[in-house]
Amino acid sequence: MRIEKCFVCGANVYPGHGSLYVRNDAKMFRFCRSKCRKTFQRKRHPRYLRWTQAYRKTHGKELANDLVFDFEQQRSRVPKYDRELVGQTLAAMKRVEEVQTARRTAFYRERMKVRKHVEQRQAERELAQQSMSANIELVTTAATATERQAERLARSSVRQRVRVPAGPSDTSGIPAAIEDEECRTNGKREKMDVAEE
Amino acid sequence: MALRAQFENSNEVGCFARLTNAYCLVAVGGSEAFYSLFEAELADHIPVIHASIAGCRIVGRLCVGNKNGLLVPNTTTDQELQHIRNSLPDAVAVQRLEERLSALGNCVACNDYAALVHPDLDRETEEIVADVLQVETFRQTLAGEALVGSYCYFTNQGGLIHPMSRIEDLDELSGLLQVPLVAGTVNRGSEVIGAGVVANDWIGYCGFNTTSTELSVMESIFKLRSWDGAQRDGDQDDLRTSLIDTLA
Repeated sequence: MRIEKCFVCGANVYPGHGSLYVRNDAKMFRFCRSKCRKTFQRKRHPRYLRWTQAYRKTHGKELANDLVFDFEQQRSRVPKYDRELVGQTLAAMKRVEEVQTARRTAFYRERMKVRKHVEQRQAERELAQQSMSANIELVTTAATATERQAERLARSSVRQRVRVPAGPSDTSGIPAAIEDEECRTNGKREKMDVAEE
Repeated sequence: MALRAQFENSNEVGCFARLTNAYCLVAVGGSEAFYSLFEAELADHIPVIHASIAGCRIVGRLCVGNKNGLLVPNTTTDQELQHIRNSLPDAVAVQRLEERLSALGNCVACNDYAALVHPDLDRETEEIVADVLQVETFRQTLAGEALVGSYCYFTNQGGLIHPMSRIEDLDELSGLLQVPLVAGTVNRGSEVIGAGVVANDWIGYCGFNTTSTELSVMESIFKLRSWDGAQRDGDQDDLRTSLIDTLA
């Protein structure tokens, strides 16, 4: 009885579970469940699927290429049965397991440290962006306020300019065209002002 | 001495046993008489063990070996490999092969010094065969058949080859292997020699169907006649002389 690994997701496949696909070149692929088998049949490569061990390992999300994994391997030549050796092996297996867990946790912590930095920087950036947008709003409100004031001022100045004593205006120094123009605008404004008033 | 044997009414003894000068593997099965036959003759000299490979009884077709080593296919389970390793002497190297062609007994034929291998076998596998069994390997076909292990059987004394192989091929092969070869049949005309015969340097087994002529050819070529051991250099029986004549 051997506990195999799923070709797609890398989970354990226990005896009597999952399915086995044998390719024409006699290569065997084991799958832990139908999801993995179907994924394989759709020719999805496990390395590009985010939920597989293969993806996680290639993208540095899991401990890979570590010396602790060299203990567990298939051997083509086996030593003869020796009670002492078996005892030692069993003890060593426990120890290897411990070392593996320790190294995995250390790797995870290390990875999460970077993540903390990244998250902090992201948060800072976000904060900066937020404050900037707030400023822009203030600026825009300020801008509109000044604009309005300026408009009001302009209007009042126009009004002042427009308030001329009744009677024929003095057009002595003004060329005819400009005077004409000005008169027209003034006339309009005058009308509006009158309406306003 | 050559004996007739049967495994559960099957004459293909070569399928159910692997016999070498250092050990003998016999299939696990209902046919204890088959095992007893081997045990009776061999147990005093070499270990005779029950074995299965990949849960199959056709151990003779699935594995290949000589006195130096035993090669088993990658379909062998860990437990079977461990059992074989535990039962065989330390001097015998047991190794599992990662090879696409898993019926190694059909693809490789060997004695303690030379081996014929299937032309499609991996280069790597060929190297391992040469390394573990300590033999010189030759890629060959026999009478147009690629399965060299099925169509011939040879020991350090001599060999039996597919009946349709040509005289030139026979000469070439016996030159390569450095043993005398004859073309012949077993089990009343079966050309599948590897399945019909198992032999080592002092004993041989063949199927129940084997005719007396086939048996005597086997005994001569594998030099299994213990009673003429003293006479080997002196006067020989007629059959032996005639055979040597044809071989020379």
